[in-house]
Amino acid sequence: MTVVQTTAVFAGIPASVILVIALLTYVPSTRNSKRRYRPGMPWEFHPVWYLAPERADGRRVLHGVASRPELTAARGHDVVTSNEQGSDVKGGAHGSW
Amino acid sequence: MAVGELSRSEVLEGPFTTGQLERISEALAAADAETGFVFSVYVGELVEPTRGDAERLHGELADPANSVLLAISPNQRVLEIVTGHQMSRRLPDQQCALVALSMTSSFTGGDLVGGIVTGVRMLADQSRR
Repeated sequence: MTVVQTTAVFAGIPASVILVIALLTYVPSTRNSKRRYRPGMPWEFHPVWYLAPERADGRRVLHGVASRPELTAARGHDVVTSNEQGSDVKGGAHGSW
Repeated sequence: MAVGELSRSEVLEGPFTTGQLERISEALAAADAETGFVFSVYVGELVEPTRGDAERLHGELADPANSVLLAISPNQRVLEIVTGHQMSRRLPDQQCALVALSMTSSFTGGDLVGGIVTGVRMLADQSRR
């Protein structure tokens, strides 16, 4: 074999294999990094509110909306009064990170 | 909102990719079907005090007594789980606290969607009828 052929086989093939694997490893992470959330990173998206899709049996579920002003505009009052005792007691939990 | 209803620009401008939205949507639908309660997830700012604002949002749902809201504020790094008063028997506050802990662990690691999906699934498992 000539010198060029020798170089190509013994150096070129390993180099191209390494290059392909490196591309496969690093290129996907550049595509995902824009969306990947990290704590402390500012969150600049509009508020979003998700509910399950409407069920096949036609049961009506309130669909979420993407901006908060639309949610509050429908309400004419701030204070919700209830006649049922304890109906405004809500459970749950709080967490922070 | 159901994944199929979002326009392309809403997905591009929104915080989650289509695949992530699908995961959230599936988790919510499964939780609703298994438990009969209404599950919802809110990601955005919460006016201080966050607990009061989360409860106010919860009250805006169609059926608050049978609904659970997971409110996540990434900027303030706060998570609120709000359950309606009909739910507290099957989903007591201690269980919610465990779910909150699991979710915040995911968020600390940078996995917002994984934390949300895990949280919804854990709450559904706890309150299965």
